[in-house]
Amino acid sequence: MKKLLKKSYLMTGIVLMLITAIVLTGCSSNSASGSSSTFYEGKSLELLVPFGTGGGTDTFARFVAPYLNENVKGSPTIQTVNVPGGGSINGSNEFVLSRKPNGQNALVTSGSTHMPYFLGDPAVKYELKDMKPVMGLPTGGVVYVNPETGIKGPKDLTKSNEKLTYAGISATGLDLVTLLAFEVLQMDVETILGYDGRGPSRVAFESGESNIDYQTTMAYLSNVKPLVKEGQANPLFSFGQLNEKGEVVRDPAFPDMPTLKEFYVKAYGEEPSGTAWEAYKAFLGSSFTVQKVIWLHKDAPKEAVEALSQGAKKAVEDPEFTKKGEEVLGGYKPYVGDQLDKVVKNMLNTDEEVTNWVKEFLEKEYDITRYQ
Amino acid sequence: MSKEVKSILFTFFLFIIFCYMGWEANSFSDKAKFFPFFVAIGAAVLSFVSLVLQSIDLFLRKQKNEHTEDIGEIKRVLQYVLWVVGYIALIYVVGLILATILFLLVFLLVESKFRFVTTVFSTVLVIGGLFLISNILNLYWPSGLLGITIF
Amino acid sequence: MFDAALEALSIVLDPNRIPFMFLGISVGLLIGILPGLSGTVGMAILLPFVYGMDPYTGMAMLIGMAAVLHTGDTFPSILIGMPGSSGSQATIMDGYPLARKGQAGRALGAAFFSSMIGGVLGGLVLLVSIPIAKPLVLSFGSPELFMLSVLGLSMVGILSGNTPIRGVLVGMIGLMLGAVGAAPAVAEYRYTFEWIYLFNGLPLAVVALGLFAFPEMIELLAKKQSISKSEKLEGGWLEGIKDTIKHKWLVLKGATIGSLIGFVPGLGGSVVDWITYGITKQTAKANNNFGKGDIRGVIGPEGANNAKEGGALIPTLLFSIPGSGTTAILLGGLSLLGLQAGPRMVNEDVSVTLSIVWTLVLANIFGAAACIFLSKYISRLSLIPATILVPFLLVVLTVASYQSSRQFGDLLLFIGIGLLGLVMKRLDWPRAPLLIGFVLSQASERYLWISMERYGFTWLLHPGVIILGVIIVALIAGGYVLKRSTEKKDTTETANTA
Repeated sequence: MKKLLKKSYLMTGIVLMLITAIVLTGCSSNSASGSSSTFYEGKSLELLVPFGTGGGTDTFARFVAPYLNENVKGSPTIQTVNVPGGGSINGSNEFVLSRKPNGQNALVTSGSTHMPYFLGDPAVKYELKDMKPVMGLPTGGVVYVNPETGIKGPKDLTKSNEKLTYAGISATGLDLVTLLAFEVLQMDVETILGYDGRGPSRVAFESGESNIDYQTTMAYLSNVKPLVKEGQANPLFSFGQLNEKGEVVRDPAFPDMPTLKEFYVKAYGEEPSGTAWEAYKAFLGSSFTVQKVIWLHKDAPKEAVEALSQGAKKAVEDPEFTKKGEEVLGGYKPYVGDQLDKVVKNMLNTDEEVTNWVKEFLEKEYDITRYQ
Repeated sequence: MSKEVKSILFTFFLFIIFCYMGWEANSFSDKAKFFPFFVAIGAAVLSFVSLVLQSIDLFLRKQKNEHTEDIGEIKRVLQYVLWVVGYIALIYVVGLILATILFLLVFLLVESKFRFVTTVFSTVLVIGGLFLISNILNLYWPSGLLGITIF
Repeated sequence: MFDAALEALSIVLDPNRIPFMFLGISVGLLIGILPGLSGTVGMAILLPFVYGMDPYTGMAMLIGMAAVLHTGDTFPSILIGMPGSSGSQATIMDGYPLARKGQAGRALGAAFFSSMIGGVLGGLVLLVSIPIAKPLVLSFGSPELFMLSVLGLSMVGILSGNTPIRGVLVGMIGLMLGAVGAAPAVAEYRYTFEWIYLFNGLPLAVVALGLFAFPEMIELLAKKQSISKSEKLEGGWLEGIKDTIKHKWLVLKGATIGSLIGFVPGLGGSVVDWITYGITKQTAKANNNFGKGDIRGVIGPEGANNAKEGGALIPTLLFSIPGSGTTAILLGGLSLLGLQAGPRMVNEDVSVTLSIVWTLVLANIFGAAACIFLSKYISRLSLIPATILVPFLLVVLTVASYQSSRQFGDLLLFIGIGLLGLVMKRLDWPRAPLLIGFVLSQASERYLWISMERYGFTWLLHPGVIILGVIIVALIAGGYVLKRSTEKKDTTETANTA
């Protein structure tokens, strides 16, 4: 044991020294200027994450970074920098206002960055329409109920035994999509907002404080599926994904689960329509279908956009990327290239009428006046 | 001015702040309002009560307690607060590294009465340490209005 | 279970993994010793290295860091009266007065030894409670969580000594400061003046540093003193260990409270040490020396703040609910390692969970031993005159404050809260209640709101709520009665001697 200890101290020392060395060389080698044909030769790329360390977006960025380094021509050294604050508005503003548009700075956004942009938050200074997307990652979600409500499928929708209660975080976060889904289905759900995160709201569901809930793909698979098996939860529908044409299609992570659209058709015998449905689709796109996006500045050099897009394409094709990223990517394949452009365009082409309707909906139902 | 009088003034200051916060809270939407509004009102009432109690106390004890604080010490406290504020203001203008160099050089010479060589040596040591630690620990620091970066 | 535990131990002790655990421990100690840097910074440093490691190695490193953080952060709390991180705030109350009496070595020895025991017990609690964790966590609904916040807030009364009105008033300042930023129930920003810095609320580290460190530095300079008023340091770490052994039940009490409150999701670990301190003081005999340098005021909270790390891992690993900034990053680390928090952690991935338990235990032992070894040298800091110590300290604190949100607002807030703290210190107002109010502000508002929305007033009749209510009343009333009786005894004793 003693010998082991001594050895390990030595090892620790070596590891510490190595780290110092890595850090020091990492700082000094960035200055070489690129003179060869490829843009990123000898350059570095900084991924600005407008969230704190360890969150979903940060994890995504840190996971993607080494694959970009490998697959982007010129192998740029990649650093992730966290600028948290203001629910990601702060870091995104900083990116647009004070980072150089030289192709060496990229921004990683999430659904909660897109939301205030769509709703026209006065603090938002970024214009997503002008920026250049490089990679986009979808996620999905499933709505489920407590079996005691007696709801098993679309037909029982209005015949709940108990009052439906939903535990949410904030009406202007991902919850908005769920709330719009309830609106589309004309369900009478009492919404209690203010929970500390999706984890606590799931605990609220398990302890009986709420009886209808949703979780995003990864959390559903690891935490709700066991509940379904034990008969403590009935899945109803998945949110679905928005395809390139702007239609709601089945979620690749849940190929056997009906989407909200199919669910509606079974319940009411017709296709969903109206402003609520349009709003649902719009916010499904920005909150789930392209939940995380890596962007470059609008005036970033063309070569940079090109090189990074190509690199992203190559990275996504890497089988190891898919295999190792199971937990981070949630089993989805990121959007790249033309497909990404189309999906992002879809997401950004939201009718002003629809946005205004949502703002009114938020004010009327949830007392939110910030966006008026 | 005795401590008791200052305490009363401080309580009055709190009273004003709480009143303002309560007033401001009144303009929030209902869901955001209830907590700050009621806490602020409760605090305002409590500070008012405390104000009255302290005043009565002071009035009754007025003759006994004539102890005042050491004026020299107050001056020194203000002096050092100004040192700190000056340092932070300097950071705002020229960034952390330059501000630290200037601050340490001046402070160590003037206040700590270090010899010149020791002062320079300590400053270099601190800057070196800062550089090393911030690289290992991946720390950040403000770069300042003028955008001067040394490293 | 036993075989699995042994197997996990051999995994942890694998010579290829041990260095990484020690790497985690060294980073944790360093972050702890530097005042104002929190576990979030430590996690952020280590996270990039996690990539590509196997889950056991990665977890050993991250947990090693988190486990000893609250061992190392005792140094600044005791030696310079500044919170080393959010976990060591209550240690200041009695640890710093001890250092000022020249007994820094004794206080540190007691703190580290009780930290070690508390940490090991916390790891064991984590191990034992795995099978019953689920019903336990689920029994805390929003009403119970609100009552727990109230229990924390009731410590304000205990900590404000002879000036209860001032204490409550200061606690309310804390509540109001905690209300700055986004409201929990609705998308609305309060008291922010559209300044984005304030949108996320005030960072705890900056508030704590401003409140305690800023006034201390100014006062030391103005009085031209060193921290220790006596020239020589008396009482070494051995004496501290003897103190701890003498008060072994206190360590046990602290560790129990720590791991129990640690596992409750949503309350945040920052309040654990205050609650322990309050309970320790309320239930101690002859407690009028608390706040002036009673060694028991160090032992209790120090036993608790390491034990809580074990408890706090339960909601994190089983329900993927982060209890603090540190555990939030731990969740990110888990997914980078290819794991997902959830019921799997006690079924398929139970070996990882067990290895975490072992890492907790080992890291606490090694960390405390290292600290005891270091304390001999570091406690000399308290002999350095203020004019020499403070300028360097100021630089460190400025850098540390700026790490909270990396905006200039951090430094402005540091000065702002610092001035408030200075005034309060000079006027003899208690400052600890502000921190308690601040830490619990969000939780109280959130859970009160949810309880009222969900249950109306019927939540007051929940059994858990009633039990917690009784405990709160008993603590306040009991302390009052106890104080009365000791006062009486004191007066009769003085009467007798006179």
